[in-house]
Amino acid sequence: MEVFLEAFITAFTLIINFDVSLFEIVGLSFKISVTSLLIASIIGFPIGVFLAITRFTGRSLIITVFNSLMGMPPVVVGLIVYLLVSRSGPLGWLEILYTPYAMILAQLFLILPIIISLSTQIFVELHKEYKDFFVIFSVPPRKSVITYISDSKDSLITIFLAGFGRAVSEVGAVIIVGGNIDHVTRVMTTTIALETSKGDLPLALALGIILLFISLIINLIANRLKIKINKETYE
Amino acid sequence: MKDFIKIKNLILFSSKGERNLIDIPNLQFDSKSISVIIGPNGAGKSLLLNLIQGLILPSAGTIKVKSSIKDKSYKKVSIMMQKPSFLRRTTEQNIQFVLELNKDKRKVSYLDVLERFDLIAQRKILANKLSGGEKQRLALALAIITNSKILLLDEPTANADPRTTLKIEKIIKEEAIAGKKILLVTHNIPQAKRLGQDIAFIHRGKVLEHCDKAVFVNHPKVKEINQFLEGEVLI
Repeated sequence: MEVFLEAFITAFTLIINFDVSLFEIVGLSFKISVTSLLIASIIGFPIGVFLAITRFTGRSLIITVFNSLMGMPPVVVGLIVYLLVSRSGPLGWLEILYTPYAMILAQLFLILPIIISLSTQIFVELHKEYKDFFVIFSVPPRKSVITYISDSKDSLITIFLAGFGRAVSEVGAVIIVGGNIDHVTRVMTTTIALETSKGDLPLALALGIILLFISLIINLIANRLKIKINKETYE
Repeated sequence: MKDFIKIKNLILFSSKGERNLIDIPNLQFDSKSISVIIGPNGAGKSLLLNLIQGLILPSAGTIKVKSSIKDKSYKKVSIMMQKPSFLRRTTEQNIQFVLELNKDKRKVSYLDVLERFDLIAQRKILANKLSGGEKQRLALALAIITNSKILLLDEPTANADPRTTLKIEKIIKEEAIAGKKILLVTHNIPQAKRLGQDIAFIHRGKVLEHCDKAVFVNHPKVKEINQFLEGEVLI
């Protein structure tokens, strides 16, 4: 219990004192996760709509592949991205290994299947309702995609959160491609892993508490947002 | 224009292909007036409208609509389904959505549409939460504001109260006077008499008679029409 108590005190001390290195780590974690999440959403939601509303040979296989990729171990993703961006890899010329860009890429690989798979299920349900309407009024494809996304926004927020949760909490992929370099690629999860291995449990726990606190805040914001959207829509 | 809508050798097989759901060797409608398609339940009336709209592809045959070179929207057909589908948005947002799609540069205000269809009080209500009569008025509004030359109306007053029925019939007459071709599907004989200039009687997917209303009512050539007019159940 002493360890937990000490961790809480350390966490609050670090937060109250606006500890620069702590907020640098938290800030970088956010930047990387939010960036990868935005890119994954921009790519993933339209793909989800496409898979939901079109019928072609191999569609089921593609959906099954994305479903399977949702559970892909982060270390495997890290290894794949490492091979891609390492000097001898096909993206080696980008020279992004051990930079936040490689970490964004790794997280993108991790959360894109989540965004695509979960949103496809939502868009399939919406398509059952909208199919006739879109045919009757000859809604252009671009407007259809925008409408599917915009009219599912309350459900998509949940997917967005699932993606963020996966991105911000994973350690295996970012540690392989980021390297946990102080002031460059050190994020909350890699710091927790490092401090635990060094035996500095209070700091590791403190970061863990901050991570949980951030998740809680984001969930609260998302819930408020969902209530607001529902209120606007149903009143 | 006598053969404005020209249906030739139209056949639609059932999903297993064991029988013809629609079998119409020849059927023509002129370019003006309200034409009524009447018949017992399950006769194929709605299927015929869906075929004309293009929601279902025929197994064989053709449906041609004469077009004018000057007016590109001349060929356009819009349909009001018996069970209409709407966007998960409010009444006014559904109207705004369809108005935005309208290529016709005439500026039609959504407020005018709401007023004309007696939907001002329901403007902020989700379309799917409207009552049966309100849904039918909204569906008719959406079909009309597309500014199509042909309006296909599938049981537009089914389950509507007398006040809504009168309102809808008044709007249908106004649109016909404005020059639109209206194909009205109903199994309501008094309504067919009130609105139709010509009536096509369809039974088991076949058009048994298509003639002027007066002839249809007073001197029907086939016994099924007599039975139908006398309220007998046709199987």
